[in-house]
Amino acid sequence: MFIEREIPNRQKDEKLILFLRRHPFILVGRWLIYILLAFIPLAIYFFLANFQPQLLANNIIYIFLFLLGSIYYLYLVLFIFSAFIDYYLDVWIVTDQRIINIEQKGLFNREIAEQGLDRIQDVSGVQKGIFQTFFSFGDVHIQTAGEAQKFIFRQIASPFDVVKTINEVLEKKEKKFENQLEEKIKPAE
Amino acid sequence: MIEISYFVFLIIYGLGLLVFVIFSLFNLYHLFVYGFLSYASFLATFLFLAGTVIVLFLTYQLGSQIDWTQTFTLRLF
Repeated sequence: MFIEREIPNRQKDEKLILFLRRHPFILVGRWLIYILLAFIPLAIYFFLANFQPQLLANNIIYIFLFLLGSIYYLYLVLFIFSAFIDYYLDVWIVTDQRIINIEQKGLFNREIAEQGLDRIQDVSGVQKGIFQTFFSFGDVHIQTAGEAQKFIFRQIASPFDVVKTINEVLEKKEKKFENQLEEKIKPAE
Repeated sequence: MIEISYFVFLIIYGLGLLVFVIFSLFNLYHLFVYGFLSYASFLATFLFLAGTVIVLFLTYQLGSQIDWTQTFTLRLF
């Protein structure tokens, strides 16, 4: 476990520029569905108590429904926690030297990819649909010249600001490289 | 005709509980090994454990009112 904001395999003098996760709306949306599902056993109990009380009077049916309800709520709590972990472990990091894509795809399936900034060819932002527009989140597509040709920052907040920031970092890196090149050439003249 | 104790339901419930515990441990393992130490992860873990305890407590409270030694008859033919 490493401290928040710590860059994996940090290189010398590497600075953190962006530390991104999905927009919280995604997690809250999933949680709302689970919260709605929590009302189902209560609704069933209400229906049976008022319209079919003889079923609840039967010991076997009562015990079965009672234990089923308990297991249902336990797994609901587990799914809510799993949704958080799925959200929390997907991270996109931009430093002044590279981009890192860490995605947890279900249990026991984790993908980590990184690429140097000098291999980035194109950066673009995408915002689709009514929710993404109103809550200002979307995807950032980064085309690279590496084995993992495309990095996608999924459902992140303010994607166009992220695109702008990455482009600024790339410009700074390019200028730094040009200055270093000029300094090398000058003494020769 | 077979007489089956209500306790059988508890055994089946116990198996479901075992699977729940295994997946909970998987989730906690992922969070501790791959996650980041932050207030959010601590709060989420706390709420998960609190929710689990609440459900189990209510199950125990309601379940303690049932006589699990009672039996029911299952007619095979």
